[in-house]
Amino acid sequence: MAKRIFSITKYRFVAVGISILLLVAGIVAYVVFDGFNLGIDFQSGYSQRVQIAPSAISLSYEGSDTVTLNVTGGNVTLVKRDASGPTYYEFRSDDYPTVGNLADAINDRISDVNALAVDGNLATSDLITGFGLPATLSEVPYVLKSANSVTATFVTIEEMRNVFGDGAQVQIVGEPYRQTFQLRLANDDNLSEEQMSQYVESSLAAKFGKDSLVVLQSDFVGPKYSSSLVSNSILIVVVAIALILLYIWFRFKLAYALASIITLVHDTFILIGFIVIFQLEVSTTTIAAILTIIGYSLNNVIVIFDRVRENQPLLKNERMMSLIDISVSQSLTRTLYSSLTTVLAILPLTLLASGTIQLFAIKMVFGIAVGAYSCNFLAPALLLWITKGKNDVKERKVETVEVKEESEIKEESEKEVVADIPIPTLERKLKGKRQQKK
Amino acid sequence: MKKRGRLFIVLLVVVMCGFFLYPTIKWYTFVPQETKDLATGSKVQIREYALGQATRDLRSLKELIKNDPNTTLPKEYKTLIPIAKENYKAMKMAKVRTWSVEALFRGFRSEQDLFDALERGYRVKLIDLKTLSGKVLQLGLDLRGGMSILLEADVDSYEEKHAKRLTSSQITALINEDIEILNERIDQFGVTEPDIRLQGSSQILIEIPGAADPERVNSFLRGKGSLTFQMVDQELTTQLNSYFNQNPTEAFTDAGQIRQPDFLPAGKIATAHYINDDYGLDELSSFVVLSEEVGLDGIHIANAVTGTNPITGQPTVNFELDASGGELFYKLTSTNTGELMAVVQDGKVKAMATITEPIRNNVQITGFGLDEARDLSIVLKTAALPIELIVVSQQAVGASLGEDSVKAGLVAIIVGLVLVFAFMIIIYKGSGIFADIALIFNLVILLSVLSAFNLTLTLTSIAGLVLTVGMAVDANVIILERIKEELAVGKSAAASVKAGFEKAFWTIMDANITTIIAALVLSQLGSGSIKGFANTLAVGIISSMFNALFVVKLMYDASISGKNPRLSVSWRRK
Repeated sequence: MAKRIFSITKYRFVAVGISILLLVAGIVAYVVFDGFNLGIDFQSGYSQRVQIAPSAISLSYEGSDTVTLNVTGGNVTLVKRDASGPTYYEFRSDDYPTVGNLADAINDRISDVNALAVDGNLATSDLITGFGLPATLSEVPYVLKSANSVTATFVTIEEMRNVFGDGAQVQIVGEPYRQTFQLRLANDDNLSEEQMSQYVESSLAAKFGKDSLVVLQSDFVGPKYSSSLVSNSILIVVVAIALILLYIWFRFKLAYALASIITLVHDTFILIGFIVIFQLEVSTTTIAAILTIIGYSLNNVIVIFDRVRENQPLLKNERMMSLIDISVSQSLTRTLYSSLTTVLAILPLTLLASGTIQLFAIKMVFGIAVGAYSCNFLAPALLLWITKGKNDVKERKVETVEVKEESEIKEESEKEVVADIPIPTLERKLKGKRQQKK
Repeated sequence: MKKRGRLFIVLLVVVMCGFFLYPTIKWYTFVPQETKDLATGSKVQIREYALGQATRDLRSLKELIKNDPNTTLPKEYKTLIPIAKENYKAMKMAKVRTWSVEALFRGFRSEQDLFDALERGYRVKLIDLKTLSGKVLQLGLDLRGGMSILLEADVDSYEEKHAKRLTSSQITALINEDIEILNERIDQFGVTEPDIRLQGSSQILIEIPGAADPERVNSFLRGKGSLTFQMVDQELTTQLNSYFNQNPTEAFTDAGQIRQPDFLPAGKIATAHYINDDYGLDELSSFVVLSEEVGLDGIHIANAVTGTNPITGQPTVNFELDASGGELFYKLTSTNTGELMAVVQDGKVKAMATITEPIRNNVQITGFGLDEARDLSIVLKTAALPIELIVVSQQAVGASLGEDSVKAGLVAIIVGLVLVFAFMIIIYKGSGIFADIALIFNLVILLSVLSAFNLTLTLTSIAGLVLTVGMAVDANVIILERIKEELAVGKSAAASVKAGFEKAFWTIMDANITTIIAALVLSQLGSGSIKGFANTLAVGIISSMFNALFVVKLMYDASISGKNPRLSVSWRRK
């Protein structure tokens, strides 16, 4: 079965047009939105993920031994260390579905621990843990919180925004009923980590009460760190591109290297444009996404260029244009399948993950799509122009008929769908560096 | 390469994977949760546990011998027999055939010896497990909950305070002292043991597993209240030591704490003098009775250095106190001249010295070896860090969020894997199954390399893992498309496979090396979380290339050699 040959190069002007359009859209968005939506990695500040969660059960212990409390996967474990060594008490949420059951069971089994259900109807499996676990119990009750299930007391994003005014960005994480908010405060006054976390904590406690909040995550980035990160990120991207360019130059001709580097820069900028247009947060993982896309889109381009190079001695009579068309068409299935498997693998992450990893996955999916487009349309066009420019210069010196001949062939090859061209059947000639002793 | 050579390499890789994954599999499947908790706990906890268990065992052994000296030794004490045998030999006593409890007791010179043997048994077992846990593929702090803090030396304020410029090597030296001091304070953490290490030349990275509380971390960094000076009651100390030596079972509670005997009056507490042993653990050297009242808090120590006495040449520890500390210390030393004073860290006596005269600011302690002097000066410095630290960045993740991330990550990997599996089989039929087997093998190699290099599995490395699943089949796709082309021009199955692999080889190399370059640059120059991603990606790509070119090739060789060669590359073609 001979593969159908698509005259990809015919669309080269359309491709360049689309690319320019996308790039311009990115620049416009950059101006309109006044730059990137920088994460705290790049912009010193404090970020916290909090969940509004009412008190569920309080535990206290007044004896002279040590009792530690831990919660994993909705199951509560208490460890008592006394004169007879450590004793483990596990309370599974399956056995004690409500917090009321749990409190009774704890009071029953460990005589000197005092458990008090604040709201006995809450589900044990909904217990949420933040910082501070495993905790050592004392006379001061330790309060475990549970996911909020009373719709009437739901905190809206506006209420949360009002707590900090314009000083903070607030986002809802996940479904609104989860009552989880991501707060981000810029550190304009050069505060220390301690000062910022205390400010956030006291502001939230004043509004919602200390016992109805769980801090799930907190991040602080000082000004020194973020400024070093920017220079470090630029260094990473430049070093990576330089090394890759060197490798392709070494393995292919310079024309191929140039075409692939322009494609790579194009992909990077379109991806950055996408990030700006949708105002996705820029964090360190964004750098990882960009570099992965650089590697990935090059991977595609190289597979195609490799085919072009391989076909060159076999199809001596073909013009560069149809040579490229044939090579792109031969690699098309592979390009599509590989992009598809990668997207298939990442897709669940874009739906299931949250936070930076979800953003990473979204950026990757978009980057792969851009890569699939540019390796099939843009890179071949660039290769054509660069090699044609070179050949023109060379051949014009010998003959001047060249120009006419070229236009004829152009017409010929730009017929709707090009006829089946048989795949070269010669065994590949191994030459030069690729000579392998098998 | 010959088939046999290729098979050998693949088998070698399988064996290596097994070797590196063994600790991880053992840890996660065969070690009970309670033991895991103990082994990952701090060394102090391990010691407490070992002391407690040994006390309990010794008590039950004594009960057994009281009831019937000829009872055969219960199974759980079998580990003591080899030690007793050695002792029999050393004491030139007749060999024993059946081990009764009495025979065991005769194998030890004293109850204390037996107690030590029991204690060592428990300790060695847990320390070994602790070592094992270091070789296991661990979840990162963002997945199991925890906190990481990046601290940097506050050079500006140091230079201002001391009115001198610091060179970068001086900063590194000061930072290393800080690290030593923070390591001394680790005990304060009790349940979880933080990992403290130098990063770059002027930064410290502290990682605390478990959902650590930022507040507790701040007090840890300040180091308040961990060091005190207290007076020793020499009379009661002598009494306590002789009492505990006669009754070793009375010395510790089963939780491993020192028992407070009844004869101690109020205001006096029993504690012990510890010196560092081979494990880097504090080892008890003698019991001490202290006044509960704190003579001086270590927070008043301004500086501490080791030196030598110019006349005697003995090592000394010299420390300076601040103004208010000097007043307090003068009062303490003038009322207690001639008495013994103890330096107490976290309730443990680290050093004792006799007060020869009232002292105000500059204190000199003598009477121990060079190492001890050095240790003590570190202990004294614990109260104040030589160079202050600023928090550069801090990340804390609660345990719930970590659990959710692990769950989401696992589901994402499994769903992605299933989708890719299905896709490959739908497109390539039998060859798709080969690619899928290679994909699974790929994940196994990836995990074993990660555990071999002691890398932790973080949220970003899960992203790398997911990405690898998608990209790993790429090499297979390139090869299969080539094979299809060869079949299309009418070649035999065997010839198509051979040509397909040969032609795809350099394409795969060139295409993947660019991605590896990007991943390596990221892993070398990127920051913490990015490193995890880049490492996973780099290892994943390399192992996917290995799988496509070696493992899958072997599968083809097996399926097309023989009498009935079968090659299935698509549903359309037979």
